[in-house]
Amino acid sequence: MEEPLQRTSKDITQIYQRHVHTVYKVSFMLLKNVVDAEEVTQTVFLKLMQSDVAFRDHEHEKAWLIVTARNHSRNVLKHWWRRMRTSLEETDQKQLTEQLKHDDTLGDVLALPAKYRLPIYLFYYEGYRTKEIAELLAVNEATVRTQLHTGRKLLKLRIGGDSDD
Amino acid sequence: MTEQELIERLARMGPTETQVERMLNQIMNPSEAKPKRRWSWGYRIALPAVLGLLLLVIGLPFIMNGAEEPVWVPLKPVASPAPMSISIEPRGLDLTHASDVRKFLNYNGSRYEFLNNGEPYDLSEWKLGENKPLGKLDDDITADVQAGGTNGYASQDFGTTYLVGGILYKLPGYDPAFRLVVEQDGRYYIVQLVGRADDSSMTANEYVESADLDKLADRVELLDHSSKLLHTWSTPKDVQEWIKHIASFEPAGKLTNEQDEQLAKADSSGETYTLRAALKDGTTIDMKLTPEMHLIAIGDSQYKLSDEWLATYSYLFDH
Repeated sequence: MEEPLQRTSKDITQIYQRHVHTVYKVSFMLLKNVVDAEEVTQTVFLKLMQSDVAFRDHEHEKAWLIVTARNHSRNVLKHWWRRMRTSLEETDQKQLTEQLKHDDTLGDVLALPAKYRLPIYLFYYEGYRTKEIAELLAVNEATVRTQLHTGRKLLKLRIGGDSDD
Repeated sequence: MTEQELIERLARMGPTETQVERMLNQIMNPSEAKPKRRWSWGYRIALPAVLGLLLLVIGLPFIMNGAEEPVWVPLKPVASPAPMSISIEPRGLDLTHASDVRKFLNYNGSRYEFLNNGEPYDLSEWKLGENKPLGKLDDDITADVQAGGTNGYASQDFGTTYLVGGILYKLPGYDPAFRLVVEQDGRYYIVQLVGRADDSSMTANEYVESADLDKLADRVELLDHSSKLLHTWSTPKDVQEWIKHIASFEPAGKLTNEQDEQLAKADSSGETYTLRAALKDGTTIDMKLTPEMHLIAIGDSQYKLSDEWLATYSYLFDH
């Protein structure tokens, strides 16, 4: 019988260093709040510590973390107490949130409806193809294309090339 | 926005090195991690209960005695046909002609001008008299200046050119650094920050923050020298953009005589504009804009228009 996978602190730290920026950014794109993004990021890696899932490679590892971050962010968004909590958080976290909200271009991205934000981030920043995004987000590829198209229109993005792929 | 710009901005979303370290520390030492413990079910139930209790304890006395009004209720002058605006272009303290004396007072090192040229406001329902007064306006600046200014009331707290003997109160819902109320003979008068009592510069950002313009501004208007409305910015994004610009203006320092003359000339030849922050309470803050000299007057001080502002808005003044 196969032994459950036990990751050491060193393993977790290495995975964390590899993917913390992605996990945090995915969370922030969905939650638009430093405090929540930090909490989700921590939770995702805590889940990883408790999980015995074995990854094929770093890409598989990253995909798992993105999906977990996305799922947990969606759970956080559902909770009514989320907004109340932010007023009690640390000053530097609040300042960061404010700074980011006042960053004009980023503000435009964050102002997009939630369903467009994550595909835009995954496509442009992480470099995923539409098919890969569709698999990650468990939606139809055509839906991703539409979301990217609409998100781009909303952002009035001037990009080189027409293909989403 | 280009793709490259978008990617650069997304890169700046974080996390910072501090955040990366903090999160890692909390992952590796979950017992020290505040968030997980804080949001156990016990807290989810306890937090609203505690907040509710706090609201009850803090809010109830105000509700009971009506001392605290909603922040942005309209400020209505008592039977006054004059517009509810305050012209806060810089003016000196020439008090030689009593009938022309500017109506202002000093408090906490700041100078405040009476709104609506000193006409009373209908604040009868605010029950301000039940609040603790900040002090009494005992020092008559006009009399002092006419006597040679030996007492120095012109720059001292509780010095005033109007309503001597009036009682000063906070105006609920406003930062006392921005607005106060004077009560005299049962009537209420609102005063608004225009600068430092000693004529030293305050930053534009200080003004914007004390006025809480982020929340209070409803729209921004540009009027020409004859008060004709040229442009209105009313979307929240546009208004916030304006506030950001205003807060970034640097003090121009004391103007030279030549600059003063240029300003007067620009004024008389119709080359000045009014930038008006229309507030949610129905009042306005008027700032005199002289694009030709790259200056804007906020309160009693002149500020330099930033290059960014000039690059963005100078098209409005192209003839």
